[in-house]
Amino acid sequence: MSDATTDATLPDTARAARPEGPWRVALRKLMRDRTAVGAIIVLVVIILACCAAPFYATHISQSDPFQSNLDGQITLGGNSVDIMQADTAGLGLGVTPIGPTWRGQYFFGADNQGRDVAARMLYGGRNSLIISFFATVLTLVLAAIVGTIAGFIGGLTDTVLARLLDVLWAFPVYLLAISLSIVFISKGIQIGPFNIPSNSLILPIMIIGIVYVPYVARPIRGQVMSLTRSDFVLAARCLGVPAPRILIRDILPNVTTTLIVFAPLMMALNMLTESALSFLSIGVQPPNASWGTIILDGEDLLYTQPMVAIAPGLAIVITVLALNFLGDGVRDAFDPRAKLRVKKD
Amino acid sequence: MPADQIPNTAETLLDVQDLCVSFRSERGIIRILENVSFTVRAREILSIVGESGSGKSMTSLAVMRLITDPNAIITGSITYKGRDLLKLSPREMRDLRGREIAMIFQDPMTAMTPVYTIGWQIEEQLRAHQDLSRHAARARAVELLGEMGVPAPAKAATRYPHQLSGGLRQRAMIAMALSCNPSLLIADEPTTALDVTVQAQILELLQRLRTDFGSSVMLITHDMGVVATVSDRVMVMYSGIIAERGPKPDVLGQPTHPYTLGLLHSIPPMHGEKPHRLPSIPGSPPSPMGRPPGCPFQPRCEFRMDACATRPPLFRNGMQEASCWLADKGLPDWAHERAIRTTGEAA
Amino acid sequence: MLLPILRRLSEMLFVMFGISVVVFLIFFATPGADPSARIAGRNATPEVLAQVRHSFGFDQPMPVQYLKVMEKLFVSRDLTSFVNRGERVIPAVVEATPVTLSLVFGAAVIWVVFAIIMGMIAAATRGGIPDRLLMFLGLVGISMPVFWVGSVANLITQSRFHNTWLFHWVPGLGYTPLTQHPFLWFKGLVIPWVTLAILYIGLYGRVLRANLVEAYQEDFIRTARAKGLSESRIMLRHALRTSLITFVSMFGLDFGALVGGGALLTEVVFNLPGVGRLTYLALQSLDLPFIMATVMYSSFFVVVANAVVDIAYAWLDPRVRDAR
Repeated sequence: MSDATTDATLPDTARAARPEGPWRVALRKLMRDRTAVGAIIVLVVIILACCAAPFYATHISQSDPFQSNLDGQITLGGNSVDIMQADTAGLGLGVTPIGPTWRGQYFFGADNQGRDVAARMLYGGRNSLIISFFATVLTLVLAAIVGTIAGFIGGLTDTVLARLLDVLWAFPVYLLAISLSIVFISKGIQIGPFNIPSNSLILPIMIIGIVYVPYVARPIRGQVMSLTRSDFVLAARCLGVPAPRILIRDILPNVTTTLIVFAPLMMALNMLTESALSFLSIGVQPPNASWGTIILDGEDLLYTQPMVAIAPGLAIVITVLALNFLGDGVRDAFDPRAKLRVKKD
Repeated sequence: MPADQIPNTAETLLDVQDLCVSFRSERGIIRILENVSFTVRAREILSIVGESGSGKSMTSLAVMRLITDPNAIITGSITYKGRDLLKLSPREMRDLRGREIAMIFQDPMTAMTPVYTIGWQIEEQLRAHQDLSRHAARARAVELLGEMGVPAPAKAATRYPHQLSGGLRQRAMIAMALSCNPSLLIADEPTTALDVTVQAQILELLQRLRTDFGSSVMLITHDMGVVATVSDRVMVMYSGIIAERGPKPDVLGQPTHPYTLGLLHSIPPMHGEKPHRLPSIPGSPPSPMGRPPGCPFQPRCEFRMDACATRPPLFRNGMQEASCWLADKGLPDWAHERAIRTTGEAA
Repeated sequence: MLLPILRRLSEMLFVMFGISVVVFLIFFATPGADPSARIAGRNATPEVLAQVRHSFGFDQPMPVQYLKVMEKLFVSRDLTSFVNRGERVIPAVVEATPVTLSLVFGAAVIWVVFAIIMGMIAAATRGGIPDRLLMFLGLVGISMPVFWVGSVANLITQSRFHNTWLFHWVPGLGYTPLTQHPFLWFKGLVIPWVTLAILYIGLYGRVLRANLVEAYQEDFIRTARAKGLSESRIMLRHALRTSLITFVSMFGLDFGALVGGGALLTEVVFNLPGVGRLTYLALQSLDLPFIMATVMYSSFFVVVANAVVDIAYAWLDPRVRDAR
């Protein structure tokens, strides 16, 4: 950080004369990668759209996406139309929500509760993005701490942490997530003064963040270990450079690069995991929505109003695809020879 | 066997004329080899020497047509037994590879597929070119390993590459290359990855090939010691061009190109007083993108003069040829003296 | 060869022990609720709660509780579901296993075959249009939630296009045992197989392509060319054979994980009564003993599968074989 302050006081010419740091080089490489830039643009559009969810709900869809609206009507082409329409097909029992109108109101149609699917998708997208983003941050931070401690200190600490990671690694991701979810989702968490209600987004963030820690921590531990044993660190030690300084100057920058390369890929993976948990009704809890829960809502309407399930699924596919493309670009920009593989189940 | 015992009239096996290799890249065309011409005669050993990046390996890959990069442009002619290899169809070329022209590589550890046994890999080559049963192929493979001086060849054939020592691996590699009795063996730095004692054994094996198998050898190396030990003729390459070529005794005894001179002076002397520090050629070879106009060696050359701004042709001097303006008259004696002094000081 | 296997097996036992402790801690030692209330499910009477507390030893110290739970899971195998009125958990899991195996085996065959074809075509045309197209499709496959693909597949084959010649053969959702009606078994599983395979075709195709491209940089490929081998032989016997080593180790892990619960989403969407769907139903009714049992058995299966893969890996790669 002190670097940044001195930087700011330097005249422009002096700063320009400095050789470009590896970060700038990587950023420039990334910006030259057309696919990655395209992915960034798509992601920005999706994020902005989700941020505009309240605006969309009040001004365009003109309905509360969390309030059921079984008796409502909307005006289509001058005629008043029921949102829940009498079922004409089949046995004629019950009602079917209105299909896509392709207009401001009920663009993708309504769900079982007569709620505007498009508006719910924007709100749900916010949750999906928030959960997958913060779960990624949590995974990366925990993995960096565990991996660096294990790799740098070594010895008994390393043995214990490595074994723990082995156990968690061998544990199938979905089963671990299910076990954690089922225990916490029903009642929430109360530890002393902290009380996390069961419908809080913190729960899925924590669960998803924790289950993927070994996937990142193991490669980081290996990287830190080989750095710690590398000749330049050995040389620094022989010169009497204190360990914390070695950690900060030589090890952490490398770890940070790995984390950045992992970040988009982990976020893609987390978004898929979040949707799966929500689909199993152990992720985001009602009345909150996420793309996964909307697909679950759409299951019942699959053959009558398939758009309820298809639209949020497409949103997931596009977002995850953009994240994966971005991930490829970031990996190439930072380390063209990197052989990182994020395992998916 | 000294070179003068080999008749000069021996038939020409390989005749490379004006070989140029270049690559299309984002920053324009990169010229790797420029107008390289040479011949290999039957049962002779031609050494191609040069620093890394001089184009010697590229030359051997071009002869084998193993440059697979779609951006490569190869021109000139490579005539082998009267056929231009550059005009053959991929199928005809494939048929020739391994059967007529075989190749061995620097590091036999990485040059052999790690998941198959030595025997399997020799069999594979035999059966690619000859109609043999697996059993007969295995028998021949064991026999070949024996001829190459591999102890307990039947057992060695069942070993994986990583289970053998470097020397044995290279012998197995040579056995594989020779399995179909090729007329030409291209050896790309065959001893670089080996211990010195093993190096000598492998070189001796290469020398025996012309009598035992009747093969010619094109030996690619950067080691002047290796050149002095085995070759009949020498070709020195620098930065994609031929610097000097001729019979070994002439080139090593009376070099006419300053680069050859520099290479020779960087070998520790066998006898007499040891120099305080080995002389070396100052600077490093230019990258293919940054080749200077005119003679590519001139930035590092002690004898640089105005004429060097234009590319010198190959000047013939008896049996010997060199692309240096000085070579027109033969390198003067003072040049030798000065070269020794200045390279010593520079070091 | 025997010693490394033994070492790997002891490692496996350690991991199994670790997992059992983690599961135990998650289910019984996490803060929040009384563990007996968790086991007994919603609306349990005080008598049931007391019975559970006694039979699981919740009034005793932790290690005793752990041993009691493990005994119920693996020795007496009489863990009962309270939500479903005394249904034995373990037999239900055993009964569901063939369904899951049918699903995963078929999908595995499809994904291995197509991933190899895809990887080889992409590697052979690297940089070209087929390569880019296949890699893009692969990435799309990786990016789709499998349950959503299943829903869309159902929409197409069961509803919208069911009455066309293309999909009229697709039977309704559900599972027919192989022993009962082999052809119906096959027909009913085709769509689930393909659905489950899509993700893995993308993943494996991309990984295989990367490995093949890397293999083509290796010296031994140049040697193989210098030997005068045909391009197809170089691809199949040299490049593919060496690349398959990673492929196989990945396959073992993913196959294990799928049988052990990863196929859950596919089973739910296609209404296949496998282990994953059992877990799903238990999730819906908050039936913790059931979930604990499936989680434990499934993770053990995965751990064993991983150990088998590691041993197979050593067999595939002579270098690893000797290094151990």
